[in-house]
Amino acid sequence: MRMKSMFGFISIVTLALCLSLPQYVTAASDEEKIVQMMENFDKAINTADLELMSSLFWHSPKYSSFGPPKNLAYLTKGWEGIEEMWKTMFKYPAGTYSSSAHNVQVAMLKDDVAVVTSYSVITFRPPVVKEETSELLRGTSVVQKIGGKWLIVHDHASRLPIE
Amino acid sequence: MKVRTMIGLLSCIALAFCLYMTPSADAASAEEEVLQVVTYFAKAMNTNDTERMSSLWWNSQKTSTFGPPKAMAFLCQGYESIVMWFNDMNKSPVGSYVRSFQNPQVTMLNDNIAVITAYSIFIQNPPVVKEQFVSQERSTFVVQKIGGKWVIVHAHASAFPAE
Repeated sequence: MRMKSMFGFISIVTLALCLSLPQYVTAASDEEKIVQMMENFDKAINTADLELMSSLFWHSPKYSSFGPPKNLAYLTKGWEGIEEMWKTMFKYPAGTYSSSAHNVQVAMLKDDVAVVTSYSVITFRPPVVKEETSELLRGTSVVQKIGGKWLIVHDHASRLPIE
Repeated sequence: MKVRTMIGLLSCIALAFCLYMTPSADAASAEEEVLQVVTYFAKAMNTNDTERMSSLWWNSQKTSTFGPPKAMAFLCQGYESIVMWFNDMNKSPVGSYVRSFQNPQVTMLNDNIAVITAYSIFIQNPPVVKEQFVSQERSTFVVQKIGGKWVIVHAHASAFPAE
């Protein structure tokens, strides 16, 4: 009888453990998916891949962005609003622009919403001038799981303040 | 009997109509509630109200902000660090820092999470130097309803890009 109680207890503990673990597994994989998405952002810039870039954004008029260049100083709404900028950038051959994100941090606000912060080094190597310029940016991306896929619903990127 | 049935039927229709309309009313008030965060933010800063300012942020280590001054160039993380920053600002007399938000816009991501975007005018009146500094900034606030109250979970404010 004691043996049976022991087995019963162990089974309950095992079941409880199994039920609690998937939450952690899901949370971890969502964070991983978000980090992967941010890596794809860099990849899209580095390979001048407009299709990949487009797939990372929420195609809704509600999407909004504050960008680092002067022409994105004011709030841009909808994917169409920033598409032109990417098209202009991607007219250059792959490798002209390169981006690498550093210290990517994901704060999960809910199962389907997160805030991602990072620093990015953007390098521009014009094919003719042969002179490199690079700058360090700070980025906030608000991402949401829509239709099972993590998408950027708002972003705010800015240069590091100098004063 | 027929009149009673008629009244009963009309009551049911009226009740159904009221229940149908209620969610729209709630949605409108949710956006209004969210907008109050920026109203209170400006008020707290302009009156050196540390208590009010502290109450606007999520009391968590996950809370973070990118600020416009050089001292906040890198991610400031954790409720205590952010509140400490505002406490330092509040050591100056009331009126030393005046902030006003223009054109605040709310995007509800779900019932409990929203993104606020706005432009802000920040006037610094240092008591000693007697010289005013005015800057225009772009602001993103990610807010979440926690414990029935909208609080800032992440903020990113940046100067207008010059080029």
